[in-house]
Amino acid sequence: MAVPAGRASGQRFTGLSILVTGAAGEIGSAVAGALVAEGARVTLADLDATVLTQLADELGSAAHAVPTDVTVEEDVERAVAEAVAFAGGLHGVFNNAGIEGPVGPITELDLDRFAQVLRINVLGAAAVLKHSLPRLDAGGAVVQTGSTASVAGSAHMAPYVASKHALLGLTRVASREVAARGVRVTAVLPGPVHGRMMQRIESGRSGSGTATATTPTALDGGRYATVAEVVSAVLFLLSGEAGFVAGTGLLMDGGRLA
Amino acid sequence: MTRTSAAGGGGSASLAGEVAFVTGAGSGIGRSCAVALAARGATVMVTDISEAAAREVAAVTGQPDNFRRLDVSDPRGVEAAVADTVDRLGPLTVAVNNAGVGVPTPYRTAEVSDEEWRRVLSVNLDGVFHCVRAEVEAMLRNPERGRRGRGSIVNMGSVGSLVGLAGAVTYTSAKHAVLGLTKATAAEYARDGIRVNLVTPGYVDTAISPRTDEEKAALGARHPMGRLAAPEEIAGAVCFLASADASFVTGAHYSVDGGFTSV
Repeated sequence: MAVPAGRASGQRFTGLSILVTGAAGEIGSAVAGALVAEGARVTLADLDATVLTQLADELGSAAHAVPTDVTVEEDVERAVAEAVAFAGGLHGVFNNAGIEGPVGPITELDLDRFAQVLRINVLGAAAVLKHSLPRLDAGGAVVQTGSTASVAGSAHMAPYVASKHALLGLTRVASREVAARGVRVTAVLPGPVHGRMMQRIESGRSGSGTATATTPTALDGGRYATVAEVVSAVLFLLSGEAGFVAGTGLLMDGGRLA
Repeated sequence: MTRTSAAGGGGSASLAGEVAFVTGAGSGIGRSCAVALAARGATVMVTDISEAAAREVAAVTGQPDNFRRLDVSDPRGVEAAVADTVDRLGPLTVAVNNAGVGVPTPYRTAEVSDEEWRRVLSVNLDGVFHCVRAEVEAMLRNPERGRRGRGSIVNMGSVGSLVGLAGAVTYTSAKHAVLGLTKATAAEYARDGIRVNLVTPGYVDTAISPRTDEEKAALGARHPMGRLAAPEEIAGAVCFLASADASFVTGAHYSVDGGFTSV
């Protein structure tokens, strides 16, 4: 049985070792905090060493910071090794590092910046899978940060949309490769999330254009998802409650794509 | 670690204060859902075509009076059951539309009689429609409760909602249709704070589908995880979708299929 009964409610991760990439970001840090609150030992990986160290200090002895550039394979390898050393193994990964990339029409694309988005969002995630999957045993889980952009297009967001489509493909392939030994690879597919990334995209600070995602027919008049709502879905997927959920992305978009 | 490594127990999604209506709850997936909803604090009305089975499950949930016989293919019966639930237990905030019939012996499309088509569709599609219609109507009377909205409806799909199951054109057709029903209803009532989602399980190891070990192994092998689901694993996803943890999830289908569809 993949869902043992009897663990106290709200302590789904007691004693488990989880690696979180993009841990300095809004979603990554919130997931890390929630995991620590539910008893996990969490290894925090991010490019931003300053924020990462602050976060580790806040989270206390259950958190360990490893400054990591996911586009550098040696960094990823070290982050995984440190997670194993810090917490005596590896049981889950929140493969979350990513950027929104340049916003603007395809006719104005800077292809080098497009490539950089793919290096971070796709190859970075692939490197994390490459080095973490061998360390996960039956019951282990990887949750990747996809997006509604994994299954739908959005004007002026070509690099991001292409990268998130690719990430879902990677999720399905990785799942098929490790499912037989009881390791699950899944993705969360949130719509736009209320936070800094959407502020940058909507204000034009991420490139030559802007993009918006208002959908007044959706839940609560088209509001964005909250970080807390993404956290809930990530923890569900990492937990044994989702013990038969594999190779799939779970939409949470307020009905945007219904 | 063993299988439980990134795993855990009771889950974080509290359902205290919710009133849940579950169909087909006398056995299998529905029974697991009723038990799991109750364990998370919900008041649960257990309904089933078999009153004896419903009574027995109600006893297991610790709410022995909360059961009634229900044939979901009867629209008036469904309306009466939902109304009775609200009268006895309070405003309806969670519904799990799980009642369904299977195809005991595989057949091909040209062999399906009118009667067989109606037998499966009257429960697996009409039944879900009857329930959703009555439940939405009841939930629209609820006050908004912030992120908890007015209510959450979870329909039971199948991998047959997404891919064609050879030998089961009736079942596949109904389960595909329920995906459409789920999305259309979700789109219509999102702004009213009513969420509607579909869980699409792979093959589940239940007592009502007795199988030899060989059959189980063959069916399990169709899932990349190499096994059948336990009913409790479907109930975990249902409880998540029912709870405020899924407050931004509507119009979605959540696959709980061990990678069967990988979509």
